[in-house]
Amino acid sequence: MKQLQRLILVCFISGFCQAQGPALQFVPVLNGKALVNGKSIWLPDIGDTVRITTCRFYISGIQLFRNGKLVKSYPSRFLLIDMEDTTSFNLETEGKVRFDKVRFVFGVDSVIQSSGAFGGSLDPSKGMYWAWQSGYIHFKLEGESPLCTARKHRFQWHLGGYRSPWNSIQQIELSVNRNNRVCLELNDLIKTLFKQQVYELMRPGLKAQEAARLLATSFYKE
Amino acid sequence: MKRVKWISIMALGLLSFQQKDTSPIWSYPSHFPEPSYDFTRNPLKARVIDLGRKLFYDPLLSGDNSISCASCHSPYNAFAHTDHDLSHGIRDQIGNRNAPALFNLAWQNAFMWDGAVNHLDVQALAPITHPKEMDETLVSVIEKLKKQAAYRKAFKLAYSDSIITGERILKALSQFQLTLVSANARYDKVKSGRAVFTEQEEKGYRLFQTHCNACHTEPLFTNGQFVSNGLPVDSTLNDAGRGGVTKRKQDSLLFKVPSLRNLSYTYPYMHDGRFKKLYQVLEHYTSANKALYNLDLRLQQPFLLNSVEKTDLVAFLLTLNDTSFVFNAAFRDPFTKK
Ligand code: HEC
Ligand code: HEC
Repeated sequence: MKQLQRLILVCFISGFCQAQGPALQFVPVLNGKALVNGKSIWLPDIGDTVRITTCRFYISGIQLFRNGKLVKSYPSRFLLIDMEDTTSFNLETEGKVRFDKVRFVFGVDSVIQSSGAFGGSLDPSKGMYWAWQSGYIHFKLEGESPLCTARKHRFQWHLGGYRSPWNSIQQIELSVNRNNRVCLELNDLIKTLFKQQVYELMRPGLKAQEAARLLATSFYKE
Repeated sequence: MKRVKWISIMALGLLSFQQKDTSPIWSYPSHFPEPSYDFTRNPLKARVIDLGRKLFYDPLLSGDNSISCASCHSPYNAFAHTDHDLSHGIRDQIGNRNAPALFNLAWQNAFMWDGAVNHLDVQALAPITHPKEMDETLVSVIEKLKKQAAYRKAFKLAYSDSIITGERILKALSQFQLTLVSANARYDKVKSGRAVFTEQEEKGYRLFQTHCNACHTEPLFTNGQFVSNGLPVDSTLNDAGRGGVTKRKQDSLLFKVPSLRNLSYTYPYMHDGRFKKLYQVLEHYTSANKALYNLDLRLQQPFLLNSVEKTDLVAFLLTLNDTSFVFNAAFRDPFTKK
C-alpha cells in the first residue's frame, strides 16, 4: 500500500515537473539522429562516415506567438547549444506558455556584436568569439571523415559575420508548439561543403554566408 | 561601549570605501568632445581599475608567463613600444606591426591599425590569444588567476564575489586603460588659458592647421578615419591595412590615423615603425614620391616646407607631449615597490 502511494506520488511529481520543464528544445541532429560525441555515423549522401567532435551554436532573440500574437519574448536570452551538454538545448521558462509559432535568430545580433564583452553564454571564454577580428562565431561544427582531404581528415567550420556584405545572421520562423522540438539537420551542410571541398571556414565571407543560409533552411520541427 | 566603538569604526571604514568608489576617478577637459565609450555598461570603480592595472602588468596573461601587456605597451613611452619598429612577443617572436601608444581610448571607435577590433572590451583577446604575442587562452588565464589568493581577493573587492570570468577580466583591463587620459600637454594648457604659445609654436600651429589638422584633428589629434598617407608598401610585410579586414579594394593600404600626442615618447612612427625621427616624418609628407594607390585626396597636392617652417611645426608638435601623463605614478607597475 505504502509502495503504491509512493508510486503515485512519484508519478504526480514527475508529471508536474514536465509541465514546468523547458518550453522548447533546440536539438542538432545528423541524418535525423541525435549527435553522440565521438561516434562515427554513416552518411549515405556522401557515401562515407563522419565523426562530429564539436557542434555549438547560438539561438537568440526568441519570440513565441499564438494566433499571430506575440505571447512571450526573450530579448536577453542567448542559448549556446552544445551537443556535449543536452541541458543547453532547453529554453527554460517560468510557468506554462502556450504558443503555435516560434521566431528566433540563428546567431548573435549585430548590436551585441559591437557592444564589447558580455557574460554568461556570451562570455568570450566560451570559445565562440573571434579574437583577431571582433565578432561572435554564430555556429561551429568540427569533425573528421575519411573522405575529407584536409589535414588529419579534419573539417572545421566556424560561421560568423555580422557586417554587410558578409552578414550571416539568420532569422528563422517555424510553426511549433510546446510538444515539439526544433531540430537542426546538419546533413545538407556537410554534403554541400564536402562536394565543394571546403573543409575550413574561419572568417566572415561569401562561403560562410552561403553556409549560414543553407543551415537556416535546415531547421525543422519534430 | 567597546561594541559601539567597534561599530562606529566599521561605519567609518565603509564610508571611506564608498568615498573611494564614488570619487571622480575620471574626468576630461572642456575642450574635449564627449567620449564614445559606453560607461553605463562598465561603470568605472576604483577597485576594478586596480584589478585591471594588475592584470595589465601581469605576465601571467601569457602562455609561458613571460609577457605582459606592458611588455609591449610601456608606461615610460606613453604605452607604446619605443625602439621596436615591430612588436616583440612571446619566445622573442616579431610581429607585423608597431605597438601603438595607449591613451584617450574612450574616444576611439575602432582599434588596431586596421580597425579589426570594434570595441575596447574585446581588444585584449587579440594579444592574449595571438601565437606571436602572448599565446594563451582566456580559459587558461581564468584557471591561473583562480589559483592565486591575491587575485581571488582582488576580484572579490572589485565585484563583491570572487567569481573570475572572461567578461570581468576584459572589462577590468578596459577600466584601467580608460583611465589613461592624456589631456594636460602644453597645448591643453594653452586651450584652457593656463599658458600661451611661443611665437615659434604659434607659427607651427598655423602650419599644422593648414597641412595636418584634416586628419590629425584637434583636440585628440586624430579623426579616427582610415586613410592612406602615401607610405610605399613594405614588401617584406605586404600589409593591406584596412583592406585586409574588409576585403574591399577601396580600403587597401588604409591605416587608422594615429594621435600625435606624446610623439617624443612613442617613436618609431607609423604602423610598421619605419621612421625613427620626426624630421623623417616631415620629409615623407613634403616629398613628391608618395605611393599613389588610394592616396588620400588631402595629400595629393604636394606641399613644401622650408627648414624654418619644419622647425616651427616640430616645435608645435612638441607642445603635445604630456609629461604629467607619461610620469603619472597611478599608471605604473603595481607590482614593483616604489
Ligand atoms: C607582443 C606585443 C604586444 C602585447 C604583449 C600586447 N600588445 Fe597591444 N598592441 C600591440 C600591437 C602590435 C598593436 C597593433 C596591432 C594591429 O594594429 O594589428 C596593439 C594594439 C593594442 C591596442 C589598440 C590601440 C589602438 O589605438 O588601436 C590596445 C588597446 C592594446 N594593444 C592593448 C593591449 C592589452 C590590454 C594587452 C595585454 C592583454 C596588450 N595590448 C598586449 C602589441 C602588443
Ligand atoms: C590625409 C590624412 C593625413 C594628413 C593630412 C596627415 N597625416 Fe599624418 N598620418 C596619417 C595616417 C593615416 C597615419 C598612419 C599611417 C600608417 O602608419 O600607415 C599618419 C601618421 C603620422 C605620424 C606617425 C604617428 C605615430 O604614432 O606613428 C606622424 C608623426 C604624422 N602622421 C604627422 C603628420 C603631420 C605633421 C602632418 C602634417 C604635415 C600629417 N601627419 C598630415 C594621415 C594623415
